[in-house]
Amino acid sequence: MMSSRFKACAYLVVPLLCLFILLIGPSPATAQPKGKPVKIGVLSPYSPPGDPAAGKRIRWGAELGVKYVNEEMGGVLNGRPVEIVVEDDAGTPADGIAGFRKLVQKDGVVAVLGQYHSSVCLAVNKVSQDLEVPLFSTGASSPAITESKNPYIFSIMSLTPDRAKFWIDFAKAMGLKKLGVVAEDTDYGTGFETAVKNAAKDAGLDVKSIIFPRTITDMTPMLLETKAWTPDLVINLGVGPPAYLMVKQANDIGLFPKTKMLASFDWPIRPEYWDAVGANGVYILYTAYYKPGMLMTKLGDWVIPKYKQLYNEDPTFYALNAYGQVLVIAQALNLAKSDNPKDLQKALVSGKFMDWSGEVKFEEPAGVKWHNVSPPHLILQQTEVKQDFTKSKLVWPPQFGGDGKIVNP
Amino acid sequence: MGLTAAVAVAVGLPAVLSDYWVYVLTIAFFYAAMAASWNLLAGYTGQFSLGHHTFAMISAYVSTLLMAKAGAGFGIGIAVAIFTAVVLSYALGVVCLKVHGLYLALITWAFAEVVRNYLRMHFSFTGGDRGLDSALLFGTLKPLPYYYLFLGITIFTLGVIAFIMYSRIGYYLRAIRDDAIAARSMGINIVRYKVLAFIIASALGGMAGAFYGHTIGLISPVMGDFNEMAMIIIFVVIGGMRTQIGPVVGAILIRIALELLREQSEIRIIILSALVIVVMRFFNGGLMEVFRRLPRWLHLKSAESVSAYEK
Amino acid sequence: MNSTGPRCEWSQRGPAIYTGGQRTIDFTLFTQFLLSGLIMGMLYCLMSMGINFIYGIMKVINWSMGEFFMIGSFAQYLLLLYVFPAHYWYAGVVLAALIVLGIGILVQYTLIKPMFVGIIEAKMEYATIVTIALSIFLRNLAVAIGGPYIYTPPDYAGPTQVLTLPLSGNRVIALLGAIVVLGIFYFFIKKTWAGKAFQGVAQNRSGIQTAGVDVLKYDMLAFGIGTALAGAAGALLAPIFLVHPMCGLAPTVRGFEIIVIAGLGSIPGILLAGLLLGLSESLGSAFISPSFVDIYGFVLLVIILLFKPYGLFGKPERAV
Repeated sequence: MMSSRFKACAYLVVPLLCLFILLIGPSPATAQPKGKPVKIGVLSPYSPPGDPAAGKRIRWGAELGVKYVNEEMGGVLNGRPVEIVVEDDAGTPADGIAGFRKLVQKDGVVAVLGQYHSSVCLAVNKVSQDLEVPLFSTGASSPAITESKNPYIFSIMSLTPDRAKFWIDFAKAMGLKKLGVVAEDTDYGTGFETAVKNAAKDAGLDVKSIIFPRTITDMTPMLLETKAWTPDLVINLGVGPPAYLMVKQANDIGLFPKTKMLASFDWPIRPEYWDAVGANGVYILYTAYYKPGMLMTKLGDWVIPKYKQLYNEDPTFYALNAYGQVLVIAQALNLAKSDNPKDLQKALVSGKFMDWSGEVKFEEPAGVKWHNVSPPHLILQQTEVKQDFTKSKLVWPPQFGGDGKIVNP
Repeated sequence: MGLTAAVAVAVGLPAVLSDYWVYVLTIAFFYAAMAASWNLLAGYTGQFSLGHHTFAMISAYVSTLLMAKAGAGFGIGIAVAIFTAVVLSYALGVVCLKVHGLYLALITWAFAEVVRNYLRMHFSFTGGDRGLDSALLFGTLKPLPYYYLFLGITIFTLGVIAFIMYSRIGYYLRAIRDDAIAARSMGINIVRYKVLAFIIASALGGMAGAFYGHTIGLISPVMGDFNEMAMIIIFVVIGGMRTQIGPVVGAILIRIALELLREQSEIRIIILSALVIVVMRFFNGGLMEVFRRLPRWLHLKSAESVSAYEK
Repeated sequence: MNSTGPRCEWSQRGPAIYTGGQRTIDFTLFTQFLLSGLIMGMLYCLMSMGINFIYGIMKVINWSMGEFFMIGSFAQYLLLLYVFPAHYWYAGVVLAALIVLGIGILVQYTLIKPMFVGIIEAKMEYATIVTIALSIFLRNLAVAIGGPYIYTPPDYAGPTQVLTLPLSGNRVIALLGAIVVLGIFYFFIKKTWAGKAFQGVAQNRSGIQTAGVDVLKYDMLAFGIGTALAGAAGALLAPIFLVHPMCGLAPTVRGFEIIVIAGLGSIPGILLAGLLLGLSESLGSAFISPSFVDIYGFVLLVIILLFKPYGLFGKPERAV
């Protein structure tokens, strides 16, 4: 009885296996002949346990980048079009590595961008060094990524220590001495919690921090405890639902807006923020990297209205980042005059490129700033319900036009 | 005989496949080992543990932390990791195997969530969500040696399970699964054998997990996410719950299908879970039962009685 | 952050409890923790009631209860968006519960009923796998349909204060709503004829058939009612937990913990277990750390199981 089952097994499995090998087969990446498109890989989370909302927007940004290169720049390397190949890393290191390998070894991409989760990016970072293909971190902010000194990692990101120091400078300038930090337990949240504590210690400010599990539904205990400590500013280190939940539940217990709250990135401009929090979401402060009307390159001016028209929302920083990274890669390809990833890496390290907000040059100091270019930081405030990003109040820093005044309820 | 052919093919495959597919198959073998060891618990003993992936994760962390913080070598790290899995599963087993099977499911499920949460929260020690760098077993990122490592682990796991199931213990386990009360009335110490099966399965899972950590180079609490357990259940159910090979076939085929369907990432898991429901409802024995019935459907063999139970 | 004060001190609001490290909890904060925990514990009971009811009738644990909770939440959100104006939220709760009831009956008819008409051999395993697969299916279907976004229905009531605890009106409403629903459920089970029939099916499945009760019909209704309870919980808690595809996960965890603590098959036990769970979470948050809030429930669970392996009021299973 057993052998007949194995026989049936063999009849089916062996031919299937052969078919499978024929279909897949060995496929080393070879140099593309002229006229063939140049492929750029986008490796982001599109399914749980990753964050699909972020991956979606990164993809939108990258698609617009490709559009710009093909329509406005006339392609790369004498007229060859650029196209993106999208892969899902599902927020899991193993899938991230598999996706990267597929992009490099099956699709033959020249570079991969779109990394959002730090743990995945750290795992893929090693493989990029091994396979010698440039990897761009579009949203992963762990300092360990650039500290690795991988010649193939490139980051156009506001890194954790930079942003934390910026917040501390802001607090000091505004006379806010007691900072309540409420952080989610992801690498993003815990990384910032540590960085804020360190920067505050240097500046002589007081910090009380509480970490919460990302799947939490009831934040009242920790918010009550923070409220009892009477902070001057609460730093909201949540991403997605926990961030909105925090604002809502802080409002329920009377912590916000009586006490100022600062969002760690620009989620208060999203329509889903107002859907989640309603009219109670006014007066929140948030961190941004550009303000409409600020001096921006023509690359930035080109994409923002198009993005708004296509997707009915202002582009998030990560979307703009993805857009910019496609453009940087395209410029570097032209500088390298080759579509070999190793040549691309040399060009990236040696050249100066134009991004949506300014000039980009990758330096190689030891530590966190290795191959990292950080955008400027701004603090804005939503002073009216459902306020459009263009109308948000610029509070700080003064050199970009901030007037240093926070609106209170 | 058919099995040797399959192994021979597996040994020779890396010669014709790219690094990318070798890597995919390596991960597939990891899941095959996890599926096979869970099948020992669920398919053969009737114990529904929903914390199997947690033991893999715990072992991975123990081994990695020992090596990173205490400077231990691979041998000690992995041995202690497996030992931890044994001790924990013994403790857990004693608590929840005395009572109704549903309690086991509930408690292992809660256990999985709590451990995962703890590993995330205590990030100063475990790295939390950022993950923990793990020393690479063969010092290289090239997937080839790891392919053979996990092929070996899968064969070893199957061997251990076969050895158990063809022995007297296996007879007792199947008796417990089919009718626990009758088994007890025949003098079998149910709790002892249930705990034994639990320990062995968890140790096998822990072994796979410890090596997995040293293969990927970075472990994170994502390993203990409920999605992982759900995938193991899916592999076993679709492959064939009460067979030896079923879970392995299920794991490998589905992992390959998932890779090929990368484009439709949102839909694949919807289709998979729907497929599990359909399989449970109509083809209770999974793919292996389909294989078994195939000759009959194709009129190659005369009708024979078919049951959901293999033996 | 430095508070190196004495072990016990009088703060402006009363005696303080120095909890080690850098935290000082004063009395007001402690009572706030306590009340918050008790209220949340009660809110989770509704889910547990549904799980327990289905188990009592069919001896099946429905692992997808969280997804029915989520469906209830989404239904409530959509109803309040398109059908009812905001102050008719209670109508939304009722309608959402009915919608979930319908879906529950459908699910039971197609998937669970075959267990009882002799088609499926290994029952518990079938039920567990099918309901787990169903939960994954529904959750990812919700993500595929609605996207990974988060939605909020309008508030049921403005912020209020309960004793020392400043509270969202939503929680008070949800608490009262949960008590009302539980009350109606209790009345239904104990006082109506149909309720007594359910009790009979739970106690002796083959015996009640001799009394002329169509158990299959009651199975369907029980599953529907159980999921409707979860759907009602989802509708009531929608403005508190916010509405998104994963919103059923946390209540499911608490719901199952309550079941294990109370013991399968015990209704009054659930209320007690819910309060205990809420208490342990709030005391743990107060004295140890609010970060580990998920762990306290599990610790309580293990402690209770060590002394009472079948839960506080559970009984060993006996199959007929």
